[in-house]
Amino acid sequence: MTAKKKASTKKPEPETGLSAWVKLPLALILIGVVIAIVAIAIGEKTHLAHAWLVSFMFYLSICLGGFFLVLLHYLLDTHWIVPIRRIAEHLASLLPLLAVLFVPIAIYSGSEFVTISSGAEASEQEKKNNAIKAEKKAAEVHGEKVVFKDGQADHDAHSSDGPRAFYSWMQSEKDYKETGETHDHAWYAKRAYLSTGFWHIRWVLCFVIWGVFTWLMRKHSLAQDSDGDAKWTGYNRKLAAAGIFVFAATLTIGAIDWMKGLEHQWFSTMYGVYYFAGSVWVSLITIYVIALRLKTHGPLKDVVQKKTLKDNATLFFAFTVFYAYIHFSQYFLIWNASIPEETFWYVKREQGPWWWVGMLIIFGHFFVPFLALLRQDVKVRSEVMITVAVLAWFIHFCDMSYNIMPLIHESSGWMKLIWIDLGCLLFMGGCLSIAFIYFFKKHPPYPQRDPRIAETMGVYIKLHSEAKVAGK
Amino acid sequence: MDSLDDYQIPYGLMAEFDTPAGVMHAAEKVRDEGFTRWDVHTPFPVHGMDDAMGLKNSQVGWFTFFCGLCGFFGGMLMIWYMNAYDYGIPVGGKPNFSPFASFPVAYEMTILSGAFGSLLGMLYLNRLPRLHHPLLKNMRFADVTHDKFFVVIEADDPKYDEEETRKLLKKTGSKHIELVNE
Repeated sequence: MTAKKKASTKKPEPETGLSAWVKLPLALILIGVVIAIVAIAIGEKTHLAHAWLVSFMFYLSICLGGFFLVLLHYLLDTHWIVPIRRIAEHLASLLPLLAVLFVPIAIYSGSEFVTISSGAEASEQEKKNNAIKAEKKAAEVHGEKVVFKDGQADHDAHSSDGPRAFYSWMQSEKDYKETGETHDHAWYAKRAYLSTGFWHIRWVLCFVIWGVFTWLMRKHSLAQDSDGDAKWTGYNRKLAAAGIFVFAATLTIGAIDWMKGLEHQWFSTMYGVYYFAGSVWVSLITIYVIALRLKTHGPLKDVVQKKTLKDNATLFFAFTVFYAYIHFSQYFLIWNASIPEETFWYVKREQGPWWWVGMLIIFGHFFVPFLALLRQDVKVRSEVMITVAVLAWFIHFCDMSYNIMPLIHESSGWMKLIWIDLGCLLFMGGCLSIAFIYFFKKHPPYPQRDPRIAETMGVYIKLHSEAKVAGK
Repeated sequence: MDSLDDYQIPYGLMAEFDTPAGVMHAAEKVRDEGFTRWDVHTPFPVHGMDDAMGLKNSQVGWFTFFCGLCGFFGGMLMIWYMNAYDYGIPVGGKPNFSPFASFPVAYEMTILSGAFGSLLGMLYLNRLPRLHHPLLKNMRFADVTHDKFFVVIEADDPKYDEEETRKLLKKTGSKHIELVNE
């Protein structure tokens, strides 16, 4: 993930031999492809598929965060973000391209190739022990009576007899269609939403909507660069007013369909906003690093002000707290209600290494960045912020893995195969970097004739009344 | 001695400005001269004034932070003492004390104590409350709540010299400079 950043940020020196910066993403893609081939060769198809999803959700969150910031700018007419808005616009415009990376997930969504034992080094016995441990843990949590109802039982049933579908509810649906009966009560109760056809319609719609909004808004923004007409801002404001609702709906659909849908037995009303909080968080720090790089080495030298970076970091700080609040609420509500069909999700994530990943998220996603950025002056100290950025990318990756990987690696195994995750991250990072660099080279690096650009660059324009006073 | 004014102690020099930009540039000059006991008064917050005045990060944050910390652990301690130690209340087979259940309340205590810390710390650092300020009896200064901007350099600043300071303020472009007495 850091590699992606390097690639995209180092770009803006076309005169100093841009071939080098085009080569880096290509190299990343190559490494990614090699890793993927090795993974398939040694039969880690299951892990590869899930790693692909982890990586996809990782980059999706960065792009969605960019989209959100563009919407935010037009809705609230904020001037601090103007110098870095083009970066956010380009990130957002990657959204329709992500559809290409989603296609493999869509194709394999229903095919039955997921085997839990492959990849996990744990023996059957160890797995059983873990199951017993999980049950005991649940027993502690729920008092003495433990009933693993529908969800858990079904899930176990599936995982024990051979490969199951990537999205296991699709299998339940297929079985139901073939036999007319199902033991997957969770899917049956939710079948109105969890239908394969509807699922495919939803993902296509999501990408189409994202494409229309992001490309249209960027088009208006670029049109303003050439003619300086304020009407483009007006158009984008109207788009943003509708877009914020569309954004909320599509992001929630994306998070639920693609990530939460892996465990369809689960309930969480927080999930959409949970993904949103993490997305904007990681996106803000990504934009910060790109802006910092472009300020020190590139075309944004005089455009990005100290206060631009400070405001950016402040919003990042706010989202640090917001994410903690959301994720805590999700955990707290489930902990407090203590209903088996909800708690199983977290019980599973307290096994083996996942306990420590959870701790990592608590400290790395909240305490460390919170305490580090509490002071005002740190928010513009580049060495601190870059450290925080590296931490943020790593933690966000852990967060995505925490959602997806416990499905196939209940105890150990994840760490040993993490190189596959890295390969996926490099591959997608390389692809998206190429697109981002292409966008950045093709268009002006910042909205040059935005109505608020003078204000944000600290150019003081005399008001009419002041001019009169000064003139007398 | 025929006027009361002859007995009065000077508080400082007050310079009036018409625009935020004017007062901002004046503040930069005063800052660069190395004055320490002086202030800028404006009808509304002027962005960038902290830098123009050379002000460092406010110390209030430390009061907030430590009071907040005390609030958090105080809240946890209170809940543990009341619900688990002094009179245990078992609910739904859950442990009597858990940081999860206690978190929202401890968090509220953090906010409450933090807010008190901020307010009291701010008052302490500003040496408030005080009942009177020399500037308040100056009729011209009343415009600070309307459309005028003021730089005031106090007489007990080590670099203060009535003639020199007056010259400096004149150079910054002020059209009205006045000596304010205690």
